[in-house]
Amino acid sequence: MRIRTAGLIAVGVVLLACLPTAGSTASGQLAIRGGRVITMENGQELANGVILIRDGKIEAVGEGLAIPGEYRVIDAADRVVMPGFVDVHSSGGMGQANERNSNVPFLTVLDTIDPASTFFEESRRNGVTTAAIVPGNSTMIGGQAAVLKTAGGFVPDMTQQRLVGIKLSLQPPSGSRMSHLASLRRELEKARRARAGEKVETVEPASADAASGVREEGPAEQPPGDGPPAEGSGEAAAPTAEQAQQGLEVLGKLVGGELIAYIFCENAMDVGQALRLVSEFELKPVLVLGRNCDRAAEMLAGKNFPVVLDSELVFWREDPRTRKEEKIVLPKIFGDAGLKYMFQAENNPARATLGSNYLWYQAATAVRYGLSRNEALEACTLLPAATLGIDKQVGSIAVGKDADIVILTGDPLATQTWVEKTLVLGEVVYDRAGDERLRRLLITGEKD
Amino acid sequence: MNELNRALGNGLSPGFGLALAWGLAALVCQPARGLAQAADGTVVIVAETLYTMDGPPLENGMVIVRGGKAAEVGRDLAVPAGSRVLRVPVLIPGLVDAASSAGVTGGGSEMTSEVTPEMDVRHSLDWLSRDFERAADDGITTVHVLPPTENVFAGGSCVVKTAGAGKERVLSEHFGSVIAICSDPVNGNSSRSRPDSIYVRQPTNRMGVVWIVRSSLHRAANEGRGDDTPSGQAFRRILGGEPVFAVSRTGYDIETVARLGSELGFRSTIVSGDEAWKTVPLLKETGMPVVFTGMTTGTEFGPERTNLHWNTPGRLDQSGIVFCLAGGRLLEKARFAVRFGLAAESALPAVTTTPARLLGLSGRVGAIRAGMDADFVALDGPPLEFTSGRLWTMLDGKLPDTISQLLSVASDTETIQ
Repeated sequence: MRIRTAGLIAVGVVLLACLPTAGSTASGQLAIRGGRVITMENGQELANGVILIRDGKIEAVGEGLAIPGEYRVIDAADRVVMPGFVDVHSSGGMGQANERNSNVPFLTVLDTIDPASTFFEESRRNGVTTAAIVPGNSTMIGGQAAVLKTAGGFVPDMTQQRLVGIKLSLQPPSGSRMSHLASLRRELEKARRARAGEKVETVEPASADAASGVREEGPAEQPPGDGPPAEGSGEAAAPTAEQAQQGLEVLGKLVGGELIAYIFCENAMDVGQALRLVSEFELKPVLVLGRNCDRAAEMLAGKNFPVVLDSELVFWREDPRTRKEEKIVLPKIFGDAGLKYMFQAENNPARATLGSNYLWYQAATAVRYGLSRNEALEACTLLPAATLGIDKQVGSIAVGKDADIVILTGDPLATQTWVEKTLVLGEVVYDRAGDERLRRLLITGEKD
Repeated sequence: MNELNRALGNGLSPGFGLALAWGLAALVCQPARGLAQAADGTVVIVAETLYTMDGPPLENGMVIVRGGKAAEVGRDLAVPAGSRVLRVPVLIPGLVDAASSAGVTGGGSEMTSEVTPEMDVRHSLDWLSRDFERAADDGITTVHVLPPTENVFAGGSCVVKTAGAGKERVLSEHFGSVIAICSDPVNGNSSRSRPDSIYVRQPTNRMGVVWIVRSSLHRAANEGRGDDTPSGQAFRRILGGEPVFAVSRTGYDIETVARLGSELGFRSTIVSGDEAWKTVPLLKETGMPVVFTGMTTGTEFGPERTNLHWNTPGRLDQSGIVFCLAGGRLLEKARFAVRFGLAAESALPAVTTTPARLLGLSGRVGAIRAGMDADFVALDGPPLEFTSGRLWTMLDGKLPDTISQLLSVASDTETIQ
C-alpha cells in the first residue's frame, strides 16, 4: 500500500513537472496590449495597438483589437512596442572569430557558438532577437555565417538558417594585397569552374602553400574593429581533401549568388576590388566597411548593395600630409551619398567606446547626424531582415511573422529608455525585472 | 558671415539645424574673422531653451554677448541696434572638464625622480594640440590639465580654455598639486636594477607609494621653512591647504587618500574614482569631492580592472557627495549617467557648475550669467538626448571650431595689438 502511494505520488510529481510545458503550449496564445506600437510596416505606428500571438507567430495586429479570453495578456499600455532588432553582421558569441588557415569555407560558426556567452544575454537585454553570426574580418575566406535567434540553450534550437553566407576578407593578414587578391580570385574561379561541372584539383602542391593562402605567420598587427586574432602556435593544418571538396561546393553557391558574400573592406581601395569581384563572380554582397572606407561612399552611390558601417561611427583622422585632424562622421558621409546603410555593434566590450556596443545607440547616433528616426530604426530591423532574406519571418510586426517583439519603457532612441521585455517566438526571453546583473550595475544609493 | 547669420536668424527647427551644423563647418574659415571682429560689437543669442544653470531653463532666453562676456542674460531683452542675432534651439554653458590631459606633449612623467611636486604641467602644453580641437568639438571650453601620473607627486596642474590666444587663455597657471595614489607610479619599476642606476625608481608596490607620500610630507612639515628649494615650497603649499587632486581608482586607494589626508593635514579631491561607489560613507564623512572619469559601457574598467558599477554618479549624487563628470566626452557621459540612474537635473551641473566650483571658477565659467565668460554650446535638441547634436561652441564670444579658425583668431589678435 505504502509502495503504491509512493508510486502514485511519483506519478503526480511527474504530471506536475509536465504541467509548465503543457501550460506553455496553452499560453502559445498570447496578447500584448501595447501603448504605442511601432510596427515598422511602412512607417506605421499604432496607438493602443494590440498584438495577438499564437504558437510563436503574430496572429493579428491592430488598434483596439478584442482579446479573446483564453489569451494570456502582457499589459504594455504605457510602453512602446516594436519588432526585435536584427543584427546583420556580428562576430560575437564565438570562442574565436578568425582561423589561422585563411581558406576555410568548410567551417561553420555553428561549431563555435556558445549560447551561454554574455553576447547573447547582452543582445536580449538590448532588444536584439535575431543575429547573423559571421566569421571575423582577418580570414581570407572565412567560414560559414549563420542566422540565429538570440535565445535558447542549444545552438540547434537557436539556428534559423544554418548557412546564410561566407565571409571574405580583402585585408591581407600579412604581405601583399596583390597576392592576397590573386589567391582569393583563384579560389573563387575554381569554385566557378566546379559549379560549371569542370573537374577541379582541390589539393594544392605543397610548394604553393603561400599562394593558396595558408598563412605562415599570424597577423603582425590586429586591425581596429576586428574580432580577436587567431591564436595558437605552429602551422595551420591544411584542409583534408574532403574538407576542400566541401569548401568548393559552398563557394560554388557563393559564386552563384545563392549565398551572401560578406566582404570585409579595410580601406576604400578594397571597396573598388570588392565591386570588381561582385561583378566578376556574380556575388550577392554585403559590404562590411572598415572605418577608412568613407572615401568610397561616392563609388558606392547608385549601387544598391547593402553596406554595414564600422562600429565607430564618429572618429578623428589625421591627414598624412598636413597632420591636421578631420572629424569623420560615417552616417553623415554615407547619408549625403544617398546610401542606405546598416550598423554593427562592437562586440568586444573591452574595445567598445561609450555606447558603440549597442545597436540602438548606433541608430541614435545616426539620427544625431541627420538620418530620419524611421530610417534609423529600419536599419536595425527591416533592412537587415531583407538583406538576410528573412523579411518574411522577422523585421516588423505583421501577421504571420515570428513574434519577436521588444517592449520598451519609452521611445527606442531616448536616453532613459530600457528594454523591459524581449520576446522571441512568443516567449519572454528577457525581463528587466529579473535581470540581476543589470540591477547590480544600477544599484542606487538608497541603502547607504 | 551674412549667410550664416541669415540662416541662424531664420529660426531653426531641430531637423534643419542639423543640416546647418554641417554647413557651418564649411563656413567657419571666413566667418571666424568676421565674428572675431564683430566681437567688439554685440552678438545676441536667442535660444528656444536657455540653460543658464541658475534655476530652471528659460524659454526663449536671450544672451547679449559683448567683449567676450555675457553682458545680459534674460527674457525679452532689448536687442541693441546693430547687433547680430543668432537663433538656436538650445543653449548650454561651455562644459568644464576637471580632469583632462589635453595638450600634454613631450613625454609622460619626469622619470628621474618619482617626487616632482615642483614641476608644472603647463610647461608641456602644446597650445595648438589637436586635443583642444577635439575637446571644443565636444563642447568643452575649460579644461583642468593634470600632469601624467607616473610620479607619486606628479606635479602642478593648470586650468586653460580650449581655444584662444595668449595669456587670456590661461585661467590658472598653477591651480593645485596632483598626487597619484594608484598603480601608475609602480608600473614598470623593478627592484632588480642596480641600486646606483638612474633607472632605479621607487616605488615598486602600493606600500611604497604611501611611504613616499608620508615621508615627503612628514619631512616637509618637520623642516618648516628650512627647506626653501622649489620642492620644499611645493610641499608646504600642499600642507598649507592648496587644492590637492589625488588620482585613485580603487576603493582601497581612496581609503588611503583619506587616511593620509587626515594624518598629514591635507584635503584631497579624488580624481578617477572608478570605485567611489564602494566608499560612499567615507566620502561623505571626509567631504572629499570626486572628479569621476569612469563612464563606460564596456566590461573592464581602467588599468586596475576595478569592479564595474554603472550608476556611480547617481549614487554619489544621492548621497550628497560633491562630484563631477570628467575625462572628455562630457555631454555623452552625462547622458549615460542619466540613463544609469543619475537624476536628470543633476546631470548638467556635473559638467558645468560643479567642476567650475571645484576649480574655483564659479564666477567665471560653468553658467550663463551676466559678467561671466561667453562660453556656450548650441545644440539642436534637448541636451541629455543621444539624438541631439551640437551646432557650435562659442568661447570667449568667438566660435573656435577648428584649428584653422583658432589660428585666424590668433592672427586677428595680433593685428589688434
